[in-house]
Amino acid sequence: MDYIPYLVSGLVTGTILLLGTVGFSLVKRIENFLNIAHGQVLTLGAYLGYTFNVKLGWNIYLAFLAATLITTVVGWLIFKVFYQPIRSHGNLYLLFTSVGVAYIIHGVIEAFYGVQAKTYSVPVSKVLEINGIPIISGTEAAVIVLALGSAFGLHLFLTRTLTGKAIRAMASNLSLANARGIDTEKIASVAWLLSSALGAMAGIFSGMIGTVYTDMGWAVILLILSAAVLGGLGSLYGVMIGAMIIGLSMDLSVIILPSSYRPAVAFAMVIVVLLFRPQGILGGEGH
Amino acid sequence: MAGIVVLMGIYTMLALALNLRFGTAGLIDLGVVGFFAIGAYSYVILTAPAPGTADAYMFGFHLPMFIGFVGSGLISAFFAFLVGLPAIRLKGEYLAIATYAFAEVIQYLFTNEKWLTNGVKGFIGIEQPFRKFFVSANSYQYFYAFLIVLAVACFWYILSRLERSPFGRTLKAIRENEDAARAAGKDIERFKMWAFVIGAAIIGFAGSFYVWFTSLVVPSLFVSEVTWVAWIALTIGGTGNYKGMILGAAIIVGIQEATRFLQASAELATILAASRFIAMGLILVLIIRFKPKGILPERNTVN
Repeated sequence: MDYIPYLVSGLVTGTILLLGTVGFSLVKRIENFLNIAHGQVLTLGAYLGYTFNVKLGWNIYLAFLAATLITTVVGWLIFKVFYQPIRSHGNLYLLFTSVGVAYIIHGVIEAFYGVQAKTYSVPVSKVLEINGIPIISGTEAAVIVLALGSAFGLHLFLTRTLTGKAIRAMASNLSLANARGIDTEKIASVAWLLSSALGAMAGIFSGMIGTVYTDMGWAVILLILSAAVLGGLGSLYGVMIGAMIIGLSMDLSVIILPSSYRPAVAFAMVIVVLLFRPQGILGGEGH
Repeated sequence: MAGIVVLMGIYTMLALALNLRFGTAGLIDLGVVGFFAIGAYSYVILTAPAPGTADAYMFGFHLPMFIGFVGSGLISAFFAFLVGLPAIRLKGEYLAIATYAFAEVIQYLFTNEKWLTNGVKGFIGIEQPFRKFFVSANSYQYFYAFLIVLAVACFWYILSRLERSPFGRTLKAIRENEDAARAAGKDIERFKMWAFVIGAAIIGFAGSFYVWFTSLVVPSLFVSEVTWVAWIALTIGGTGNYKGMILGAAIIVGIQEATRFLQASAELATILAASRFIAMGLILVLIIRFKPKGILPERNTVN
């Protein structure tokens, strides 16, 4: 029974990471570059959530909606201003531009909010106990349900709507999608909107569970990269499983390793996976 | 002022190493800081006196400075060999992620394995080369800046010779067209490995120079920002152009130090510190947008 709290917190970490990683992979598939600034999109969402929730005193779910909405628009604007004009330069230039964008967002957030970590004001929720052992809090349960619900919503969108199918078509073969008459510019915009929205949600969820701090984007992008590699870079369903594995193994590792090694577990897994199965545990584009 | 020259020199060394790995061999390495840390810690552990009662570390070999310096490059190169053994075959971004993850693991190891690194307390009061010939710390600073310039000149000379040698030309051929180079009978992995290992040696030496400059070693010095700053210096200055790398390092260190020197009220200080990140990001984004080959682009020597 002792391991159950670790399992639950692993599930929470995993589902939050899942949202962040799916958004990252969507961009990886459509634009074919590693968007290092995606971690900062999560941070931006988290800080905007703090503004609405604490500064303006809104209910957490209302703050969640408002912050997600704004971050989504900002994410799309960043795409229009920074990435779209240099697409023809190639994916390495896009990667380094995203590093530049990451520093810009990081700096702007730090200038506005300072370096002190922030906490949301989430109403204290009941904790479910079994035999006196605390299992899961209401907030944690809400985060898991909402995150999995959003992932399922994304799945429905990608499989049931024309736009969603177009995204998948573009992700698997850009030139063919173009030849079949898909408006690739429009679809790319939708992908960026989706990616930013999912990122913002992940950021706000982690704010609800823990604290919000300025270096969060750099910490989280490493976990996102790890989950993405584990699932096979860019394969949308593979990375969901990759994220769950990373989340669970990080939080369960605390049982046997010093907790200061928690994130290192994720990176060590990446190295092992890259050595033995570079195509990711679920296949994907591979070598 | 002398400090700025030293930092510029150290980032130029990192950029030179990156240029060999990326500019010449096309390897995307996001783990620069990992090898930098290995170099710095190797030097310190080789030269540190035996641990005192308050220290958590077990090994301090108290060897001469010179051996520590040579060791920092060799040990860093050896670790690059171990990492490269499986990783050198990985394609572009996979290598990037693997090296990024490697550098993070190194940072966690150096923070937590107190028996080796003395943990967050690290090592302080590290002896500097030729310090005894100088009376004041101030005059030594200028001498040390001169020493760094000399070292950069040495690396520059060696690397530019290397680049023009058959070895360097083969690397460039691999970068331009891997399949053609393979068809010409070149053992691609071996050449890439050499570039990776030599790059790590230079980064390791840069680690020693950094230790002498800061005269202390703690794990928090070796964060991923070092890697990004080295890449930014290379990218904005111009990959493949040595003068460009020095210019890039000068610009980026200039930005960092300018925001540090401007004294301000506590409230404004936060904004100034934050503007350092914004300025770094903006210059990278703008240069890529308008001068994608960097301020001083590589002269075409391939065709």
